[in-house]
Amino acid sequence: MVNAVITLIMLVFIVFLLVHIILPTPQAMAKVYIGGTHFTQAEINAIIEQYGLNKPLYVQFLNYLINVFHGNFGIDTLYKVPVMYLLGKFIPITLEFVIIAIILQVLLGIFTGSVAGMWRNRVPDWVIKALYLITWAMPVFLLATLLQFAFAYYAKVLPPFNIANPLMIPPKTITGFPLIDAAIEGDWPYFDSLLQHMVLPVLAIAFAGFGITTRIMRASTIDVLDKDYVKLSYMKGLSSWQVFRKTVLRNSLIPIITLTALTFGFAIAGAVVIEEIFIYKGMGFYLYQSTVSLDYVAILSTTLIVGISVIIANFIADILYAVVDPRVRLE
Amino acid sequence: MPQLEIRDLEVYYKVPFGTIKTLFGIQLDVEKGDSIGIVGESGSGKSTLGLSIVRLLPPNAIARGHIFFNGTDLLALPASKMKDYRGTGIFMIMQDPFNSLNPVKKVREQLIEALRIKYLRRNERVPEESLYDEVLKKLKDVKLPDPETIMDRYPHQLSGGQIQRIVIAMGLLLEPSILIADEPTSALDVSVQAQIIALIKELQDKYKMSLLFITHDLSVAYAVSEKLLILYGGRILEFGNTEDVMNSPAHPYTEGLLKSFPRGNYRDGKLYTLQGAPPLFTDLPNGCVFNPRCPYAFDRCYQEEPGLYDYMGRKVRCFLRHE
Repeated sequence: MVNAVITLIMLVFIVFLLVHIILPTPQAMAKVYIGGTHFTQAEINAIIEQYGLNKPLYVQFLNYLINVFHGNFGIDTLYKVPVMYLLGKFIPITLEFVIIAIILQVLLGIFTGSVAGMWRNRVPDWVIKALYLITWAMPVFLLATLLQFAFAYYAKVLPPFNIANPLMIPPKTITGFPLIDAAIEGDWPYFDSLLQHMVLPVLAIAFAGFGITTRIMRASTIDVLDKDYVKLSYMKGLSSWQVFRKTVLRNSLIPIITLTALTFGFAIAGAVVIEEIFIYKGMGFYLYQSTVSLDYVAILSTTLIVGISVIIANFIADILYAVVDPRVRLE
Repeated sequence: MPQLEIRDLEVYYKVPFGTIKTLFGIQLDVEKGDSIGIVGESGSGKSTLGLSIVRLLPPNAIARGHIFFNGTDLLALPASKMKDYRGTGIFMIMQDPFNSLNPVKKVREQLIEALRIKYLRRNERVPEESLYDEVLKKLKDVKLPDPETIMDRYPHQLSGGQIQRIVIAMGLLLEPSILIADEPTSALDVSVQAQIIALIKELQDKYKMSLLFITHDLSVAYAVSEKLLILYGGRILEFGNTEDVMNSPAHPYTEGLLKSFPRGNYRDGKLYTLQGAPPLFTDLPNGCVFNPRCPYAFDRCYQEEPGLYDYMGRKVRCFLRHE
């Protein structure tokens, strides 16, 4: 827990420094607040005074930290509303499709990795290796653009962008997660539209990331297959499929848990690019827009939220570890 | 007809630069109720022999020849049919107890899983409670203290001796006709070793199984077996009754082995050592495989390989015993 807090403070500190390298003077920062080109010196001075932009850096940093611990992330310089409000709106949209993408990615990785491991150095292994090397080596934006071109513009089976049909009226916000809200309201046409718009971003993230899961799963399967308990499992008279299902799979899954927590960070990072390509208005889109317009309050908060979510993912991984492997005890 | 007939068994391993042959023309008959000790140094091919009988060699290995089990050639079976002969037919105990049981399942689940297979093959339906009772009874049979508690343990909570008893119990639950034990005691403390050996011997008599006991320790083999097979460099060097082989070894290698093990309270004399090391399969000598270490080697030994000759009711691979 202490470690996690220190990690987060370090993270905020680094981003804080970067922002101040890009915007080195209080005047430059104040101009971002004003947004336009029409301003007077008096306005700038007023903003510098109001936000304490001329105070020493460490005072500004401490002030920011104290505010964050009070749950105050500041006012967005661009939209002029509390950042918390914007994050509350955008985070669920991103989490929804990223979690679905990770589930798909992990299932795909486990399946291909197991097949490659069970048929190692034979045709299925080679085919899978070729597949994941291509997708893993390809940049996310290229993969996403290719998918968009193929399915949306060429085959015209899926919508190219947006999170849902913009002509439809979205259901009332309850949880913030569009799919769940649509389901609660019983708005199935909207639900269907959400799903259709989600397919391409989800596929892009899952395809771009499954290679690492495949690789680790293959290595882990091969490692487990070599163990005496697998031989003993065969000795009971079980068929290869039964040995795989009852003995090999659960043991080879153990490293995948940690790996999935790690890929969660990659997937969120990938979401920034993916959301921009598919104009999927979630946190990634918001982060991209704020970065372009140097909206530093938003950049800091979003980075912090991404950091927190990665730490939570790792925490969940630790708990799952203890559930799957009886040799691990939670302290 | 013998229960198990091994004919001209040869095993090759595919490696990046060719193939390595590790078993050379193995011939062995196992009659019902036999107990055969298979003795060899590490790298003699003894584990390969055990694994090729149950067809669990690593994927890069190829076994040629015939292994007839009650008349069926196991090596000619498709891989998917082989499972029908494992477990209830032939059961093998592995060398390292700490890797023998599935680490993520309780002992109880693993034993009941084995028992279900037996009843499935007999087309019998048995209620869950009686499966439990049968497992419990077998755990008592193998003299495992406090079996009720141990059944709800995970393998990492048990000692090597306890796991080896559990694996033996698993074998007994399946009621195999042949039990292969691949160095089941070499990872255990000496006192536990003796108990496990006594247990295997006792259970073999009680359940009328044939036993193939693979070991590098001649004294262990002497304790369990009625017949002794000496394996060296992938070849059988001597095969005969344990008593005969131990009392008057016919092959120079067996003789060397016997001389080099410490006996009881005899410690003042110098212990005999077999010079040299077992051959590497990548670099086997010409002629007799034992010639670099043999004190009696003569010209012929370096030129041609001796056959497996009959000698005083035994089989010996040595020119000296070939009349």
